[in-house]
Amino acid sequence: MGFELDITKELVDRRGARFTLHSRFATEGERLVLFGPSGSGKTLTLRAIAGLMRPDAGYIRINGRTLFDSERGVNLPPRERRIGLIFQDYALFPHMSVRENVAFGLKRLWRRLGPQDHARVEELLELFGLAGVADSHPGEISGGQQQRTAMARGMAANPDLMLLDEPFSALDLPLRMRMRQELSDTMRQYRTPLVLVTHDADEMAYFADTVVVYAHGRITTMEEDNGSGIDVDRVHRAIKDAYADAV
Amino acid sequence: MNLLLEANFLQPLLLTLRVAGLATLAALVCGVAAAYVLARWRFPGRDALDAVLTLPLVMPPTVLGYYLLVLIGRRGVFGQWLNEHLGISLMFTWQGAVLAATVVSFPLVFKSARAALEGVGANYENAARTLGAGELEVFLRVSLPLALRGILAGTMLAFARAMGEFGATLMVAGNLPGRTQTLSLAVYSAVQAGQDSLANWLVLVISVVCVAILVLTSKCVAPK
Repeated sequence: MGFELDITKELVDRRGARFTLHSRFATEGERLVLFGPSGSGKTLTLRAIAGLMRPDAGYIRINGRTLFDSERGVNLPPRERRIGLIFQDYALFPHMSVRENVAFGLKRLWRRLGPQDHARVEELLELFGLAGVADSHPGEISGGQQQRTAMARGMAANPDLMLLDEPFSALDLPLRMRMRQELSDTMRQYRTPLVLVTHDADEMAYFADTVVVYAHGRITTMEEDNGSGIDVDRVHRAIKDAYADAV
Repeated sequence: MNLLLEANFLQPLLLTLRVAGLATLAALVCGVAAAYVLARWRFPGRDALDAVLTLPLVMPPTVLGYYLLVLIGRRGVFGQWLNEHLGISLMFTWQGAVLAATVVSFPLVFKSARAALEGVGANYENAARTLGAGELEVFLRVSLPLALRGILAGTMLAFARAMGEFGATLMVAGNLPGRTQTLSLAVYSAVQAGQDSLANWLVLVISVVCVAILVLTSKCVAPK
């Protein structure tokens, strides 16, 4: 995946505190992890990639396709970006069954599901082990099943890129380990590149072939896996240095 | 006797149901549309617009009726135009009664719809957007179904309010038996004319319908 991003965004919260995000990196990595403590700007960057937050200036390009470019006046709406996003709380539609959730992106207002779409939905339900709960509603299934539903829903439309916002934070530890592996295997199977936001070092080391480290709305360092894994210590040192004068 | 029953009783009831039904429908469409605009977008004057749209809830119906007269009366700003260009006059017609009932019941739909739409988590709507849905689709497939219960509750209340509408209707449509005399106006006339047993029956019908609506509303709003 050719990923180029350079965006700035200034936010002022209710108490008048200013936060400036300046995100800039380029990578060929297929598994990108945005790493850093809460409030460091990684989720904001993810939202900008998905098109849910409009940066003040800059550009976002994926495989040469421009999603956003303030100078050229390009800003594709989320629906045209072909990017899947898994929310931290999954945001499954509570008024729809698991099957309807998975089919959401394939259905349009003026168009019913075709036989191909039905086959695709059933295939995903099967793949994510959801066939048994396909007619249940999100509130009736376990946390792990909810996460699988969110994944299946995001994958249904075959996105170019999958964004995951702390996807395991709502799960307890044993389940978290299992879902981590499941998700990783599925993404490999579909060869979908991913951008994952986390503040969990294990998760970062597990997924990343490239790590972008955030602190105070800026990128302090970038680590790439050169065959021997990510150097987690160096990532930690970078964060420690960035926050050394904060405490 | 049958004829009397029909004139005194059935006619006002049917007229009331027709007026209240149409007014509720109009209030539903306008109320949800206004609620959507105010819940979705921030613009200068948003709070002022909200206040104006809520005004019919707090103003005396007779005052509202007077405003409507000024607007759609024969020499009213809008009424004159309607009369000259379309040959329509709403004064002293049942359509005028619909308009009065719509204005009076509109805030009930608007207020509850706005609260319900603002209560729909932004993430649901954003999730729909990343899944390829346009704004109309987000509204119809996600926001509206999730806000439906609140909107329905407001609509029921609006219907009940329209059923009982008196003041504004009297100002705009008058109290013409068989033409614009709704149940609540019929009660007034019956009491004025000393027809106590007719008044009793009319009051009973209104009460039953209103209680039925309240029960239905609480059923709709209660969590499953």
